[in-house]
Amino acid sequence: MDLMLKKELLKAEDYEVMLKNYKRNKSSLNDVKLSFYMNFLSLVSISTAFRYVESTYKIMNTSFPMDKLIGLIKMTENNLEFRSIFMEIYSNFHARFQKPFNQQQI
Amino acid sequence: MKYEEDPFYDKEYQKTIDLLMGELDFVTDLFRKEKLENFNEATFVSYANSEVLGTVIKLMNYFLVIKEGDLHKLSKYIPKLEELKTYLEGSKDGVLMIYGINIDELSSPERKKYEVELAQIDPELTIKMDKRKLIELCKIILELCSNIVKLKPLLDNKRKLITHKTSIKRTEKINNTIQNFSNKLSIRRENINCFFTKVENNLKKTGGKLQVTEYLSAYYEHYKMVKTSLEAEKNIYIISLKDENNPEMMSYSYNLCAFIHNQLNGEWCIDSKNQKFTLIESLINTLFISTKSIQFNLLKVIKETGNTVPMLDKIWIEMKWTMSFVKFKTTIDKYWKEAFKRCMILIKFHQFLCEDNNSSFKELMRSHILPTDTIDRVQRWTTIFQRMSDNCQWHYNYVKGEINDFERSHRPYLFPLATGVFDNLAELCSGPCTENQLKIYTFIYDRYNGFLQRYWRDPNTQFYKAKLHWWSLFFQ
Repeated sequence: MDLMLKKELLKAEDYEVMLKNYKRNKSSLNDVKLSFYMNFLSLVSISTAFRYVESTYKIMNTSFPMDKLIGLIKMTENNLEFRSIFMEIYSNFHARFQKPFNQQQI
Repeated sequence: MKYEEDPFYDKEYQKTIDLLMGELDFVTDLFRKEKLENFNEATFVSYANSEVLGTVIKLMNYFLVIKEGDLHKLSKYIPKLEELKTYLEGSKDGVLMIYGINIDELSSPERKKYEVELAQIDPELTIKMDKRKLIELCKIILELCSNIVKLKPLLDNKRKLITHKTSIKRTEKINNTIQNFSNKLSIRRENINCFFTKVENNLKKTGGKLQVTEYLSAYYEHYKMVKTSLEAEKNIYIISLKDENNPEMMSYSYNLCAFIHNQLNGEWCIDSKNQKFTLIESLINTLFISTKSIQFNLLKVIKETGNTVPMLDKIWIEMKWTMSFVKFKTTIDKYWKEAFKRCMILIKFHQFLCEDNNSSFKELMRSHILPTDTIDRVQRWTTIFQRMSDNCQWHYNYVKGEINDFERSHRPYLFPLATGVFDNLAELCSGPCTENQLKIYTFIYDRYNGFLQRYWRDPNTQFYKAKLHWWSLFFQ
């Protein structure tokens, strides 16, 4: 999966806005959009759980810097599903040692 | 933003640790308010175990693979890590509360080893100290978290089953307290009371009457009855001996007693001893089940022989010989064991003769003096204990109020004999039989006092059992 092509789904600001307006209502457009975004993010978290390439690291670090991710985690409040996805992303990119692939070698 | 192949990269771990502590707080709060809407147990368990504690484990693993040269750069995180460690070990309301465990339950030899190593570092070597501290802290946190993650948070009914108030946890706690044997007598006394903590608390709450003794005695009586009836049911002949109103059974019982009496009255040659002991053993078993009819008939047979009691004399002399052999033999081998067993059988035989408050045999014991002796058998039982205690030094050479272990020279393996002697005396005096009580009450109190005031380290021994039997003798 090339993350560069899905870059529009990886904007922390969008997530912030959607989380602010989250109403736990399945018919709300905002909630549907958020659940779609979160599904995608969960896919990213699963795929980056073990190893990732340097470009992925760069994209994720620019889109989800440490402070923004902490803010997002706090915004989810009691929604444990979203919270665990953000935590997973955080632990994959900011709390774990990853020996990266050298892209040129591949 | 910077990304290097070198595993060391300082990425403001302060924030990460703060976030993790915040999340631990969040999880604890959520657990307390679990009745919230949309609370899903599975999601909660997965979030607490995989995400929060999982991230702590990842971080600690990362710290542990950092090259030694870079370690000192992380020394600024030591206070934070210490904070995290204390937070995890935390108070009752902390993370451990969710899992229903104590920090003591998670302690392991490795963890203790880390803590000892940490304490042993010279504080003047700052860099070395920092490196060591960082590694040890990470190891402790890692071990703690991995142990917690294995468990599941307590939810709903499970919490009630695993609280510290359940009987199992209570018993385990008391057992652990008693296992920690102390040299101080005051602590030992407190430990003995541990069993009754719950009862005492109930007593304080209700102000009612203590029921423990009643329950215990009721249970004991029940047990005794069940045991006797079960054993007796197995042998139809022995159980039929109990029927005292049936003349046929009484004559059968009389014949049995007469046979055993005649056999035991004969010469106690070495080659016939085995047979005689087998007979006595079977007589004891029969006495245990159908006590009264056998006692009655045995007495009848004994009285028919005249004023002397040759059978009882022979058994008594044999007992004295065996007892001397058991007392003075220096090596414990199969001959000693055989003699010890025989000695116990003979002591039990005397006890069962007077069982169930049989006044005739008590009188027989009191009135008949052995041909070679000057005092009767009732007093003789006290002198038996006196000599045993003198020979083995049970009642002297000890420090009052202290724990004095018995050594090999004290022959602690003879305590069952002392227990048997006390049982016999108790049987002779029970009823109450005033004449017998008057005979023994002036004897050897210094021995009894010395025996009672001595303490031994191991509470599960025959010594304390013998002490208990002494109490039952004097407080009937």
